[in-house]
Amino acid sequence: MSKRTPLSRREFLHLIGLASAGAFLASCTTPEPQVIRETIEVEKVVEKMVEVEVEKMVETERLVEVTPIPLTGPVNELGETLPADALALDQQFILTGIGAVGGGYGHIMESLYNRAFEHAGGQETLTSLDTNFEVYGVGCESWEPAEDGSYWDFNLRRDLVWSNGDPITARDWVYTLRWSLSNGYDFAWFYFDIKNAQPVTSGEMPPEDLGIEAVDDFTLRIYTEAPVPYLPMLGVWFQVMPENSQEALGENWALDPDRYVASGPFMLTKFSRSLGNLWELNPTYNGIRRPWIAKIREENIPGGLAAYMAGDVQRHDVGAVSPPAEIGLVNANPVLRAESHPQPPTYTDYLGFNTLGDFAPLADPNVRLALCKAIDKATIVSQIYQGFAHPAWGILPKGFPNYNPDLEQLDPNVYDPEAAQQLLADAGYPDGQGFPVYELYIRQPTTQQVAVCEAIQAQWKENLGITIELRPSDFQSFTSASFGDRTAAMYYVGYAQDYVDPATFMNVFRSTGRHPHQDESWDELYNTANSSFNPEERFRGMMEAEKLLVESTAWYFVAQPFNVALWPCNAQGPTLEPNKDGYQMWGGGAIGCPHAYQGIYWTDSNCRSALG
Amino acid sequence: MLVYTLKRLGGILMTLVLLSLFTFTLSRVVPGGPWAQGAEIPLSEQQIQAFKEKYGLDLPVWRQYLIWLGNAATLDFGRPFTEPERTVTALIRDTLPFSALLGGIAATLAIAMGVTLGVIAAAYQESWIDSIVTSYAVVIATVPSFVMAFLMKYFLAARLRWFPSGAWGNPDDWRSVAWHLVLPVAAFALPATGGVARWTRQCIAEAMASDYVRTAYAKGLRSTGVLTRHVLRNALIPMITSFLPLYPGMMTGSLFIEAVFGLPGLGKYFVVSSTNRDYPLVLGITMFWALLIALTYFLTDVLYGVIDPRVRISERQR
Repeated sequence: MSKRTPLSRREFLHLIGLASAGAFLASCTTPEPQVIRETIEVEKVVEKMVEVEVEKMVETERLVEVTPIPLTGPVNELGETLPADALALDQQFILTGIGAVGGGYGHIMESLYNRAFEHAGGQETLTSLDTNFEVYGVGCESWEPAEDGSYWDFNLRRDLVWSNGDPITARDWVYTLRWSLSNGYDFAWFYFDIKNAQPVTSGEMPPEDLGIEAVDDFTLRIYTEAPVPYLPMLGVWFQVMPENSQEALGENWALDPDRYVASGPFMLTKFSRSLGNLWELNPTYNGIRRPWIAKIREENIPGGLAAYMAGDVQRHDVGAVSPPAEIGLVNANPVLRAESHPQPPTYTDYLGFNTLGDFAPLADPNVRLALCKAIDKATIVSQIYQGFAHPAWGILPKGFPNYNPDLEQLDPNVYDPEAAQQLLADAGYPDGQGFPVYELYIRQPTTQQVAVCEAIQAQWKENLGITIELRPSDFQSFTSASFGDRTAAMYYVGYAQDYVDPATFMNVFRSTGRHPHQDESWDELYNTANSSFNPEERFRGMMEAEKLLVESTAWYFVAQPFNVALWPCNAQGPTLEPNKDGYQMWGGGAIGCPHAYQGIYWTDSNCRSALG
Repeated sequence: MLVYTLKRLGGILMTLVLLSLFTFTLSRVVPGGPWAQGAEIPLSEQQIQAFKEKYGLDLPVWRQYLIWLGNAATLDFGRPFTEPERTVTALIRDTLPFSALLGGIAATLAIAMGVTLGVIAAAYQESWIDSIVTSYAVVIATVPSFVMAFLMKYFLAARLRWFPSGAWGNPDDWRSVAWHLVLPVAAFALPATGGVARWTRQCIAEAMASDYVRTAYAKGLRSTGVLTRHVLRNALIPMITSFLPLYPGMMTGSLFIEAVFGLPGLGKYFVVSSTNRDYPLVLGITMFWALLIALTYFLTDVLYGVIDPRVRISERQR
């Protein structure tokens, strides 16, 4: 990004010497005190980073009020005029990594978990989330529910066209969902609120019976199994494909620039898994997501903070999994500190028990309560996550809509080893005698997740006298044992938000979800609350449902990790501004769903000159 | 020699068939399947059944294996579930050149540096030069690649800006590619030089202690002549056995080097094919790897004959 004076040989040798001495000293220290010292340091880092963000937010607000950015810079292919301080168009690109997950499919409605592209530049979603996590229409301009809540009508934008010039109509949207759900879509469960989605997915009904129809060319109607107040939120992952595209364009058309048909602001113009993909602006685009950048380059990019500091990558995340040295470097460097943006937690790690009866002790709520009360969650999280996680008292992350801090006071969340021992003794396992040795399955764990489970293992041994064995597993083995065959007695797993409504987390805890636990009374209570169109009543009911979730002790919520995102200080634009809660997010909207990098541009600022 | 060669080739073929049977069985025995990769909610039985029918996974396993074996005989290893737009053969063909170039240069550099250092250490045994080389060999071999890569990227790329921190560079400009490969090659090669240097020193030191070397010196030959014509030639056999396999090992890619430096290559597929339960890819890559290793050892055996006439004589006598 910027040129700097190289170090002299003397300085270089000096640094090498310091690094060697540091490495030598580090290797001589005993591990335990080192962990404690690092934890304290990192907690300070996070606090300071948050302070920096708050200061920046105030400053930016003042700037916006007094001096709006003059739009007199270069004009891109969509006709968008960039601000006056923008770099030339050939330097207006986003450089991001090629999809880390296999990346088999080009269209997100072919596969979500095995998709090739992380962004939504090529295709329009039905809706999206802005930086304040408010839902807005992308493929549609408005929506309204039926009076009885049995369906929603989405009024589509009339001026949207495909890159081949054809208009985008309701028939395209209908085709897309029918095709996906009847062709083994791995994210089909996400749409199970839609009428007949489940039987269509399983092949028990033809795709034509799916609850989606084109009322006219520009009115899309979606019927639901029950009233679904948050249905517009589901549209953030619903991307359109041209009617009959799978048949007319052939398999894998969305990976082939020659056959690719775009509805979004970008067109796939080069596809190479080795040398990278290139997305260029789609000149036929008439939608509302209007990027300033000219290109998206998806390439194999180097990892680590060093690559970010060298200017070879545009984005780097620091979190609990980062090496302590990286966190130290960020903390010590004023430019990196200023480029650090704490992200809201969007993920909850939790412990789950198979309560279905195959593991008799775990079917007893008092045994599970004993297990919960024997875990010192606050200490475990603060020690292991280096300040990059909150203790989880329920499934909803801290700051999420309907977050309930009072859950901390619920019995399962209160660490009380004596009470736990008594509960276990009353259940017939005094001092853990006779308690079976279970395996705790951990899904594709990070170092921190393993450490958490080791801590739980140690505390159960110390506080209750019971022994468990840890079984870190790859994704497939874990899913098969914990949620498929249900041969796992207990498991440790996480769940991330797909949209910003409590339902995104809580739907999965219904008996029809993935867990080896059945509670129809909870389902009824939750479903009733969830389907209410009265927001206050709905949230009140869902808060009660979350409380019962914790009290059921079928799950024990442990940690809500978060990251600090770094991007260069010469990246500017409205979508990078602090949101109502002070968070700044990269990508063009709220984190957790795909965008098209709208509202971002590169300035000619030399703010990185002091880096290093 | 021909009979010997044919026998070895037959052995290789048999090994490959057995390995394919073993890998095929193992890949089907592990829990899970390619239909559930990354899915938060397990797919329904019907969805899994539809997937199996689409890819022929609903057939009896022995039939699946025979079908696979028949196709593999024509180098058709199927299509990866994770990258269905190309065949496994095309995937290997597309990615191998990147790994082969990086690994080939790194292996050559490691061998060249290591052998040079080993020869020097052996020539100056028990001297301070020997101590320095031996210490270097021990230290460099114990530095993990990730530490080496991190130090190089931090000092040489982020701080000094002498080299890029990674990526392949412009593929149409060999100078750009070469410039981008400096750090990855160094990070890949340097740790390997330690082992090469130590083994070279040991082989040469043993050869130098032998009777024919003493005789050569007694005949009045110069040190350089003794070293090149007698010592090195005799030390080459154990060295070749150790060093040639470095090539298939390094040329088929390193997950770590590719990930850290953001390089395209085959390395990552050795891991993700397995974690994704991508059966065609697991089998294709395993067989390709096994073939490379087998051919390397075959080549090593042939080279024995070229280097050491005693091998040819003993074969003829048999």
